[in-house]
Amino acid sequence: MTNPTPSFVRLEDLDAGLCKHWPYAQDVCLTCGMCSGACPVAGMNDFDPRKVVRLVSMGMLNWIVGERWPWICTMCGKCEQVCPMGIDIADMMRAIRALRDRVKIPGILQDGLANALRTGNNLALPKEDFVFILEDVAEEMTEEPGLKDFSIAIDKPGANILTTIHNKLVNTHTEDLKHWWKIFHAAGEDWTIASDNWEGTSWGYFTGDDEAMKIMAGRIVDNMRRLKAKTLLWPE
Amino acid sequence: MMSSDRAFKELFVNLKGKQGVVIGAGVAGLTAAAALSRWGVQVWLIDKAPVIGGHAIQFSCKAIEGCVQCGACQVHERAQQVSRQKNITFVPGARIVRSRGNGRLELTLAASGQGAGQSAGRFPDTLNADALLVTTGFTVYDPSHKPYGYGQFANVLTNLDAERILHATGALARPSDGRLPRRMAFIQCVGSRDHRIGHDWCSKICCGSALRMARLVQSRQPGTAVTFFYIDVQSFGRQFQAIYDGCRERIRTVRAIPADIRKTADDDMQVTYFDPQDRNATDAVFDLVVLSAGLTPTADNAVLASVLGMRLLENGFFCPHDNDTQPPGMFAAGAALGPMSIAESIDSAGKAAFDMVRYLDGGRLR
Repeated sequence: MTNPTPSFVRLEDLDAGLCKHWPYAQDVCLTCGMCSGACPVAGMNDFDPRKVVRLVSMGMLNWIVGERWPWICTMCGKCEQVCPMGIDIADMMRAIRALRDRVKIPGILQDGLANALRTGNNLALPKEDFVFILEDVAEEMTEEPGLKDFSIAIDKPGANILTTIHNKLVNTHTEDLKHWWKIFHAAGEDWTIASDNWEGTSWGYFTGDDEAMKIMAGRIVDNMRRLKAKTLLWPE
Repeated sequence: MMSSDRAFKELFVNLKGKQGVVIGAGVAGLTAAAALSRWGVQVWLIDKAPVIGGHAIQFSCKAIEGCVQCGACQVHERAQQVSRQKNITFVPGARIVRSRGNGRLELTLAASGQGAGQSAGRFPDTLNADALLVTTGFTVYDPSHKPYGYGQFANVLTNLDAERILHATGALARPSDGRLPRRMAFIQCVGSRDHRIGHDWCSKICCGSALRMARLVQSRQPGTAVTFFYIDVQSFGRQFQAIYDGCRERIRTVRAIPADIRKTADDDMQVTYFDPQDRNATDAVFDLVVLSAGLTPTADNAVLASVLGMRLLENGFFCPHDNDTQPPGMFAAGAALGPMSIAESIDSAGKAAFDMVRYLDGGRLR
């Protein structure tokens, strides 16, 4: 798919009907630019949320679907918080991503999502390795002052909180696990982590793949039922 | 001259003994009161404030080399006209709490609470009105909830704050330290054209008033750099092009509305926006930021409309009285109907006064 920047807009391309199935009212955009002013990644590869909204409202959907821009967006939603017209810009980005041919979505997301559907996490990290990493980090923590008696309980039935894990926390950012574990410990919280399907990062969500998102969310619901946990904590 | 003008008008209509009540003594109310009085109507001009002139009397003349048609002087002229008329009674610090009757109304007054003490007991408890005009104007949007630190940062002002400072001191200095700003920014459309807060309308006057104010500041405080953040310039008014041509050479215009303001250690304002020319996220530092806060319906419109049995539009402004959309004898004019410039308010009030005269005369006058 090649999508050269059009040098002019053809009138027959301006088909608002293309967007009718999106109830986001992007055609009320006033082009004030607050979305772009609020966006943490605006300017990267010239990324400009205001232009994305305009492209969509002008019916130039096919062009934007093939572009890099929708994938630069972090979907943080700051744009729609400031939008005076209340346009759901992050939702619109997701809808644009969903229209992309699946084999053409960014490779890392394709691979991670395939891993998640096959193994329960984006890294395809085997269960033994996952449990080893958690226990290793927990042991390290007991060396810190006041945490001598810290321990984690994996797959503990009936816990108050079941928490999911962002895959980077058992990959490159293991130190970050400690921050919130310390909070749990100080609060005397009764919490647990599931050893299967623990992934909290849904690349089904980020790639606009509703079916994959449903499967991954369903597995977390299954974990809640299996472990009879009372509260789900799903940080992402 | 005034009396011969009246004598001339009395050849056509006889409104002796007719009483008109005008609610709101801003530029529209003053205009209508003066016009009604010239037709021989006994006028009661009520305002909840202790003084006449409304918003517009707080504004400065924006002339630089010549008149820029801002309209500020018009208010003073109208106020003088009103003060010269014997058949206009100004009722300050009052509001209407009850209205009875159909045709001839009996209105009950109460102290508004503004300027209390000065006016208590100074006005009658009830007034009779053969016709009534609402000229309650507007309320400036309070931008505290927009991401600009209004109310927290001393050097972020609304257009109305800036007008008041200019009017009182003749200069626009930074509230934090009294220093004259070298770098100023105007941010347009704050609280208007904003669907999220239900303000779908354009406030119409802010592009012209911000640009006029910017030019006035540049003329009084030479060397002031001005950046104007806007969506599109709304060029209402016959004289707009004349002032706009002068602005474009002297004011940097950026077609983007900033999304954030932070305060630096020096009480400067760091403004974050996406620069459409550089195609990049940009932080620019200003000494002073003026928010063009939108014109919104007056806060007590709903109460007043319900007391009088008048209709409001969905957006909270008064419904125009044309086509029998308001009860007989009840009229509305000026920015009570929606955002309007001083000149438009004067036009609107003049027409409403004539509509009232025709009504009071039984529709004979054409």
